[in-house]
Amino acid sequence: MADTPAVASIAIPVAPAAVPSAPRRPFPRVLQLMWRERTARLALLFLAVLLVAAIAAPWLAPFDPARLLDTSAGAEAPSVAHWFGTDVSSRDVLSRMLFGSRISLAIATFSAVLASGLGLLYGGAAGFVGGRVDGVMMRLVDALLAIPRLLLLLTVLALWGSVGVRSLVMILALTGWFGVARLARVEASSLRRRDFVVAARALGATPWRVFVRHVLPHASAPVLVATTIAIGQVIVLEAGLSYLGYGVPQPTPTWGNIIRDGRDSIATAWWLTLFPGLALVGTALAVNTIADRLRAVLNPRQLPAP
Amino acid sequence: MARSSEIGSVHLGVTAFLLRRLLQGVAIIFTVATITFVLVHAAPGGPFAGQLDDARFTPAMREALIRRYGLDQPLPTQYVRYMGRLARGDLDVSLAQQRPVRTILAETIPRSLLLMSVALLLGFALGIVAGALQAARRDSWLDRQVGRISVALAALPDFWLALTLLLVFAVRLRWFPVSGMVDDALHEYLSPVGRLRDIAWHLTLPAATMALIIAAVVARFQRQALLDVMPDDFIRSARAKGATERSIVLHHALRNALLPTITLFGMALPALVGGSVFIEYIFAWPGMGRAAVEALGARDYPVVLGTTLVSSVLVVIGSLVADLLAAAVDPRLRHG
Repeated sequence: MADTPAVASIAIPVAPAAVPSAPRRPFPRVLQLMWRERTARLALLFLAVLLVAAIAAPWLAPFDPARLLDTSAGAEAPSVAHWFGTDVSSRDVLSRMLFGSRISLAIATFSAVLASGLGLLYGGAAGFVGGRVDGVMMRLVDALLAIPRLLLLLTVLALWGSVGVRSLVMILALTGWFGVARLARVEASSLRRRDFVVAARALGATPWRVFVRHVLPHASAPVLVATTIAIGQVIVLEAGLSYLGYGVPQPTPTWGNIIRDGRDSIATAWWLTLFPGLALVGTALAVNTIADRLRAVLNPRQLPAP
Repeated sequence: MARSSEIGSVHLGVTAFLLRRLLQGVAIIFTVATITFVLVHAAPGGPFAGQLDDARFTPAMREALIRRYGLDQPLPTQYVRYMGRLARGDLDVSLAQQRPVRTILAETIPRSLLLMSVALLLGFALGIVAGALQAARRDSWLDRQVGRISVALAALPDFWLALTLLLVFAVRLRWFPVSGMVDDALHEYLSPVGRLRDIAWHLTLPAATMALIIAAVVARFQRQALLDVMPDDFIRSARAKGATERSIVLHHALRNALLPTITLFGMALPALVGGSVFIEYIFAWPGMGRAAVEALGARDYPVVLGTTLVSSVLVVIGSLVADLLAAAVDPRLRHG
């Protein structure tokens, strides 16, 4: 449910004729415009800190995330030694969360980028070819979008059995490209008849060149926003799958796995649910905020005149 | 167009519109079924990998399984048989429970629908009220606070919100039961009214979890939709007529702003059904989603597959309902 706004915003097709060509702002300018708003600034800072923490996890983590510190003690409440407490197997939760952020962020980023690439290629091809092929290709996307993603994932996991991190990234990417395909298709099919594309083709440009030089840059703005939203969705989705016990296999620490470790002792060891959950909420909130702001920055009609 | 045929054409418009949507829905379900067939056969080792490798399965049993499902037939034949079985509503037999998947779903779907419909009603009601309040007092302290809360709520992972509410209201405060749909020990002995109250009591937390997230999303949409129609001419006329701001929002703007929210409902359905899986699992609500998760643990793929298929059908029906509602609210869609 947390991904509902994203679903809606991806799925609403923009009227092709009315869309002005996406402005091609240089990246530093985009960052500068994002930085102007306070909440976006906070979100960027939060993600930057998280990224640094994830990269520097081996140096920052006070304990070895896999070490069973005191097997007789069980889960210990937060203390000076263990800021976020220890889990049922007596492992330091803060250290596990630091290492977990690496896995969570990496899985989400890789699979969201991969999914967007797939969607761009598929939707771009459909919109570009047009006609009956386009119709058939997009009806397939309609059907894929009608299957709740979580259930599609559960079906794949039930059939394939347990999966490793790499397969999980692949499965998440393969179930995440449908929305982007729709976006890319709208852009590509509206460009197909535009004069400059017709001219490029008349000059002998291959379809691939036209796609890379003309379609891709025009589709980049909405796809960038959709990818950002997808990163937030996948972080939450992966945590959910891990919670159910079908995400990244134990004992690899991920935020979802830590919450799962605490599911039987939720009444006593609340810190196992609270801290990784807050990390999830903060990250999802930051990513959504950035996506919102990115949408405004990339669509100049929504910004007040400078 | 001649005036005499106008009424007829309006009717034709609605019927044609509905018929087209219905056909699209059937096509989508057909495609979903095909996708599941491909998934099952693309899985490593085929549909019964787990069972066929199991040492407890004698060669004769393996043989029987292969013959029963026609796994020795060419793929197109298998496909036709698979689709034929689905068309008859035969969803195969659960591997773990040894009973038809159809029976399991017939038991669990009504419970899931109960949970989802209560959550939807609550969520939409709360969201529309919150969004209308925000729009009526635009840029006020209230608008900003409600806006902040809904952004934060919409970002909450559903399973984590469920766990948190469970921890606070069921485990700590003991206001609500921790799990299940009825009190196992007492339910049989309660009066009909008592039984309903028992179910409502168990329903509160799972439904509230879903409703809160739905409301957060709806409120954001509703606020924006209301603000979008506020500059329109008909609002200006109402204001010129001397209508109060309150009556403008309630009577004039809300009706016109309902459309994006209804569209949102249609589009949010897949995520809603997916989210209900977590809620049902955490609160042990004995619905379809929990059945799917339990089946997953046993690698009981017919149940998971049946759930996925039926959920997609629910999604398609839901978007049809959304289309109907949209047509009911907006005459332009009916006549267009």
